[in-house]
Amino acid sequence: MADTITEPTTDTVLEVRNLRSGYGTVPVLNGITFDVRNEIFTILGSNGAGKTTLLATLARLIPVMDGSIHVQGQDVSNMPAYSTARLGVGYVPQESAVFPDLTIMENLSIGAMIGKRSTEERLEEVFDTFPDLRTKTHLRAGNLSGGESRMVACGRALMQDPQLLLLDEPTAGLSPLYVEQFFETIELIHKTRNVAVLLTEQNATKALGIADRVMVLSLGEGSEPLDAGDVTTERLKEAYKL
Amino acid sequence: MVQGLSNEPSGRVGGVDVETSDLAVSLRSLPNWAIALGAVVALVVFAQFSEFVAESLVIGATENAPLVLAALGFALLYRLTGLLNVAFAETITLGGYFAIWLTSSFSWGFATAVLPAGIMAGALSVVTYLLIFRVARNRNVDGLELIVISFGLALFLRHALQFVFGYNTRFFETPPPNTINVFGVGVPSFRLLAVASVAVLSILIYQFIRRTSYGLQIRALASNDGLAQASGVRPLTVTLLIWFVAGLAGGLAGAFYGVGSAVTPLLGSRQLLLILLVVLVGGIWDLLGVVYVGIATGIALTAMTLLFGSDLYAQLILILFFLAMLKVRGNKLTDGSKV
Amino acid sequence: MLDWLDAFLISGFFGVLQIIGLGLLVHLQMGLSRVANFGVAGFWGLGLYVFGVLYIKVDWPFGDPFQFLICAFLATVASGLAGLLVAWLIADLDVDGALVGTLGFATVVLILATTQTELTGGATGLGGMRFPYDLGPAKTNEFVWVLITTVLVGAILLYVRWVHRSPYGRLLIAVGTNEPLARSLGKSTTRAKLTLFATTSALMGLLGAMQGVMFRFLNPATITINITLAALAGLILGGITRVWGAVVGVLFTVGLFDIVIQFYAPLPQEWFTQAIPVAREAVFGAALVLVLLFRPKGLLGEMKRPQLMRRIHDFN
Repeated sequence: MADTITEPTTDTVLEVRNLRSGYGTVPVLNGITFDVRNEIFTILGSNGAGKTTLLATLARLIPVMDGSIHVQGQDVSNMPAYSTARLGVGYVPQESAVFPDLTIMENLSIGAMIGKRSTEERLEEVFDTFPDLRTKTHLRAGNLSGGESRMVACGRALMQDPQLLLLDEPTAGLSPLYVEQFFETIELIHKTRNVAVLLTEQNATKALGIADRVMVLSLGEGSEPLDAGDVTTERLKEAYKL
Repeated sequence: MVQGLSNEPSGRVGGVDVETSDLAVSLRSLPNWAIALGAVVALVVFAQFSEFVAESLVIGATENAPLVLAALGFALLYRLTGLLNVAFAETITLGGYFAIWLTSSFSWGFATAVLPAGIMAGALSVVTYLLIFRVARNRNVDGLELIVISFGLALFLRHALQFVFGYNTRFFETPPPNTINVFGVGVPSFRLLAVASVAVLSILIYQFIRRTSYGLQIRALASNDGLAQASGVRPLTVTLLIWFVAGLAGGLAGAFYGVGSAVTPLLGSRQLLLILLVVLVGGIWDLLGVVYVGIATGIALTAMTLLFGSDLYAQLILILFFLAMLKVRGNKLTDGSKV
Repeated sequence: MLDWLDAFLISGFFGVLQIIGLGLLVHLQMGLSRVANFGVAGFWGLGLYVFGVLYIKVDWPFGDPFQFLICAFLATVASGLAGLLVAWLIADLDVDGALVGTLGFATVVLILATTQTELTGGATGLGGMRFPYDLGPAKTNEFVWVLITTVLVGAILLYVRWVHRSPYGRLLIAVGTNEPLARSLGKSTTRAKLTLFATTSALMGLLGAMQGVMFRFLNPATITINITLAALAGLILGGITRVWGAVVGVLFTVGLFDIVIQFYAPLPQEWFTQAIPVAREAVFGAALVLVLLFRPKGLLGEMKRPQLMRRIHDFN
């Protein structure tokens, strides 16, 4: 548990306090507290640690049992998912991240319903980020390979012009070649678009490469966030409670 | 997410897969027109040679146009909200009653009354959603119980409406219709109006679903409702819209059924099974599949009625055929979930 | 001797018994195993019609009670086989498919009853059934028939109770709670469904045959979905997962309308021709909706075997 949380500053995009949530009446997360600034914030954890639950809760798809979530200073703990999305939260789940029956273009257009900027302008930016998608806009997203559908999912979230991007294990199941490329893309998105990124990852080595800060999630409890630069094997082990 | 459908994480290699999809898409998008056009031309040519074929086609397509409309409305609701709403039959019935009420109270002609009647049925459909199905959803009632609720609502509406509109069969007091000759078969004018409405409404609904931003949101919700909401789609607006359009289609169908024969409390429920079968079998493809199967069913129904001299036998054979189809193909939709 | 008994009251009681019997059987199908059956009227009607047609149209070499027994037996078998067929049809369909399959079956029975005029009398109907005994006045015969039916429905109740306590019942509950799990534990859920539908449908057919004797007349108007929904409304009001659910619920629904209101409510006579029967159905429909929305387990509440249910739910 983090006792010494820095007071939220003006550039705090996400503020999570004592968050408890889960399925039915069974809590999966037992009081998580952290802040995300304009940075790449990585949540490390093994299978079943609650990473997916945490991100789905932040996206407001799972009800909050206790605690609070603030996005850009606004309390979203009781907001429906679509209102939270309108506050600038883009969510890319690990599974079912695209609309399989919709084409790539339609998937991306869904994202463009938020905000005022022209769809063409946003599309152009997404195609710059993911050039592979440009020529395949008419394909059904359900027929795509794992890597391509991840790009579509990410692209859809970027179309929302988010302030905070929630990526649930963005590289899970991708071939090693793609993984590296994808992490580079995430870094690029963060830098060029000024988007805070909250991503979850199982593999510490991979995640530390791009993260500014990491937090370890274990059995529904979060460690104190660590600066990625300071992370040592010892501190990680400690955070994992090994 | 919560309701997330597994969208088959496809681990296939990009290149090969894309090429086949490319081909499949180009093959699929073009021939819809070609096949439909070809079929129509073939049938028209065929109709020139056989009175039986001409009668089956013309009567089948005109008399059963309301079936297509009703099936389309039902399918819209079923595929986009996942709800098999038995009480849709009563939306049809009430469409017929609303049209009767409008023609008799305001001395409107049938053609004037039909659209307002459809709109009233659409509004009723929205009310049933807000008062019952939304409550059920918020209370996590689903599956078997939800269907039983829709049966209960159907039973309630079917009988409660008799206290409003009377117990007896009612007929439209419209002048006898002109008949128009189509391929040597006389067709009452209101039937042609029905066919035109079905065609126009089918195209409108299809275009609405395929081309508009609301249509896109509807499909997104049907495809993956958690993800749609997390992408900013407001489910309530979109859901109300679906219920309204479905009710509108049902109400129009009811008005056309009614003017074709008479309006009775059982008007819609008599058609329910046929609608269900068309939707479940035709829905294996998409909304257009429902339209095609609906038209084919109408023609087959008429052809068999002409052959056997009894529409009940025709229904019997169709029911058995569809049930066999269900057994063979299963009724799992390729997509669609709860909205 | 039976002066106090109104002839209509007897038929009111008989109707309540019939619906209780059907409700008990639907409880096994939809309450325990959660297999949708919206074609109850079809199985019941098939029994009624097979019994009636055999009884009237076949020149039996022996008289009653054997004529009754053999015809009722064949009606029971016919409905049982139909149950087997329908169960096979819907075994691997989801609830929507089961709805269409069972509803389709009931419609087929209704269409056959209407179209096979030579056998069934079609829409005008067919008369000529008798009580398998003659004790004198019609009222006495009917009263005795109600008693016999009471014994039959009582036996069905005992059977349902037995099912609840048997391994077979646990298998049915497992099918209803988590079919894939039951299957993965090596249970043949398809066979369980086939057995269930064969037995329960057979008993529905037998109840149909009992109906034929009592009303001595076949009429397609009696075998509509309203029978199915009456049984369902009673069962759900009482408690769909409970043994006594159908008994309690049907007394409150069909009993209320067909006995209490019919005979004891001081209402204008002309209401009884249309207003009351129509209101009856509207109220049944409203009851289905309201109970499922606000008290889904019915008046009696949750199934009485919480330990068992908890054990099964823990697998999930």
